[in-house]
Amino acid sequence: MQPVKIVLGVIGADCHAVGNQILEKIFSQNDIEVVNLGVMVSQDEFIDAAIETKADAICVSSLYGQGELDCEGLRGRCIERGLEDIILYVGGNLVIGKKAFSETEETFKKMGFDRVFSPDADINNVSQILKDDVAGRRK
Amino acid sequence: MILLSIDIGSTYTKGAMFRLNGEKLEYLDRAVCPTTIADLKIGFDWIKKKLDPKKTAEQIFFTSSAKGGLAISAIGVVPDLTLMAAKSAALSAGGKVVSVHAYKLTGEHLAELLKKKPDIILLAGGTDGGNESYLLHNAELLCHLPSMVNCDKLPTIVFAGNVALKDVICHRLSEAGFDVHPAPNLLPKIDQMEPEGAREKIRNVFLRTIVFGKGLDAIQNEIGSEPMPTPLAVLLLVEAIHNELPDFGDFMLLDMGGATTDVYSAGGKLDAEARVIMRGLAEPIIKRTVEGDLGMRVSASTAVDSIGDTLSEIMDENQRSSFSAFIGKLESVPEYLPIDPEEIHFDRCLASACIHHAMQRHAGTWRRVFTAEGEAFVQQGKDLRQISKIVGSGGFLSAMSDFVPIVIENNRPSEIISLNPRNYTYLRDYNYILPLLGAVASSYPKQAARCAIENLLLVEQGGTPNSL
Ligand code: B12
Repeated sequence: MQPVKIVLGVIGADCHAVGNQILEKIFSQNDIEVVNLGVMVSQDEFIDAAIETKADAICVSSLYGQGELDCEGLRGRCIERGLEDIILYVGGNLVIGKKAFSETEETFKKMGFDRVFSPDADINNVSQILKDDVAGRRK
Repeated sequence: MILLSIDIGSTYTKGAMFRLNGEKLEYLDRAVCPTTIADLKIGFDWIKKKLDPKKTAEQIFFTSSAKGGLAISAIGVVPDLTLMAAKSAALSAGGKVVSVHAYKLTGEHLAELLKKKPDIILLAGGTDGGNESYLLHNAELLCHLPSMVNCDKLPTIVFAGNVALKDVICHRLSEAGFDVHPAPNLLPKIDQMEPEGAREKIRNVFLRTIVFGKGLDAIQNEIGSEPMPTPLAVLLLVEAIHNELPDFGDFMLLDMGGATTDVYSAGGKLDAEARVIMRGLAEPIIKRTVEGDLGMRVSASTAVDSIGDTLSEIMDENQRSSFSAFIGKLESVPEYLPIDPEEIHFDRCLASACIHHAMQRHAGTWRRVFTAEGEAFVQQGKDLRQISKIVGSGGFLSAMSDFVPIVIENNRPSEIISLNPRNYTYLRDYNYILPLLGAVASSYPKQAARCAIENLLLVEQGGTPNSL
């Protein structure tokens, strides 16, 4: 199987850079090819990079609490721009205030994300899930 | 030089005569007669003779809203993106959007589309080089239509989607029996709406489908020029006032008829303030919306269905049953004019509620959100709060000398804030000539724009006995 390729970045005006570096490192160790766009990435920059590199998935981070707003409409733009089959993951500090994670998960899934992760997600685990999802999608 | 402008509407044929003297266009006279449905030229000729018995007119303009305007079904992929762009292009071409379809069409969608009897299907989807699968699916499904209807009822297709599929899809659809017109993509890039190409195609289809038959082609042959869809003429006039008379400022125009309430806005803020996050496609500077369910006569009962809540808010408990009787009367006799004070009051309530809702649907909105930096607003659509003039036209608004439409404040504790004008003066098209001037604006924009505002009358606020 061709290696799994992802576009990675921190969305919106968010400049938290540390988690992004860690994610790149662990995904790479798991034989996932990472196109890392770094921090402060717009929806269209994610999509541009995914189109150009023919990525299997877009992994979005949001740490500063505005994730819901920044991620709104991403799925629709993917579809119009020809990425109707791309896998969308999101993770980071998505919960604002005292909301339960399940509620946040539902919100992001409604927006078209395939999977939603909390800050304590084990990235080795996530790598395996991602590979399985990609294998399913490629069939 | 004497100019005539004649509009053939679905109920009435109206005409106006103007004198053009260099930079000045002067309004002279106006005439109306019932539209002669079987042969439209009879009414047209009658108006011409009535206004200009000595045949002094050197140029004649004519517009038509026959069949209540061009019916368009809009098909796009994502509701907020290509479907939105398709709707907006259809409206700015003077069309009436009868159905909208997002994502993948199904058999059910096809059945609904057929029921709405569109003249045109505007097929959009995908940015250039973008989505192909949804477009291919939708085109393939549309190929079933020719076997479902008589071919003379088959809608014309304007294709304005992903350029990469233009040849393939247009070929496939014309093979299936459709008359297909390729246009440039409405949304070539994700943030860039380009409706002009599709608009032009829609106008061409209007000329061919509406003009032929019922005498319009005979009129065209006689006067040597093509008709324009009436709403497009109004749009041109709004554009002319905006471009030629910048001192007039940003404004809105309400054109309320028996069947629809049309709202136009020229200007309005498009860029965001601090604390405001813009969402959705940038709307055109000159924007038009049409509410097919809100109208004073033919659509009076659908209006009651849509906006009954507002109506009952502005009416006394004990008036409601006689109000229903009044609406029933309007339905069976669309040309009915209210006589007693109660009916006149009802008519005004209906008008107020239609205008309120048509404006709410036209204006942009703010949604309150909380971010890391505190409270902010997500804005969708145009911010019209600074607009300082509203112009009223159409049979009812032109006639009412003491009626000022009131924008009902959003006093409900809602998360959505409407960005409608807050402080404005209200001007009335008291001769009801704006649509007629619109056609003239196609050749003489500056003169028509000036003549239009010279023929507006200020209506004092507070003149409404039943303001909301
Ligand atoms: C360091 C820091 C900063 C630094 C950032 C320096 C830099 N360039 O990186 C500075 C001082 C600049 C900063 C600024 C702000 N910060 Co700050 N910051 C932090 C802090 C203390 C540590 C962040 C960090 O590096 N964590 C370590 C990394 C490894 O963890 P991580 O980022 O969470 O990433 C992991 C997981 O989340 C997960 N993950 C992330 N993305 C994804 C995606 C996928 C697909 C998956 C599977 C997993 C995953 O995996 C990552 C690796 O393990 C946190 C608090 C905290 N302890 O987390 C606050 C915190 C993130 N900041 C916060 C805030 C509010 C801000 C500001 C808005 C403050 C302000 N009002 O100005 C600004 C925002 C500036 C901006 N535009 O982004 C809040 C966010 C609140 C929320 N989300 O509800 C936090 C949580 C502090 C708090 N408790 O209030 N911050």
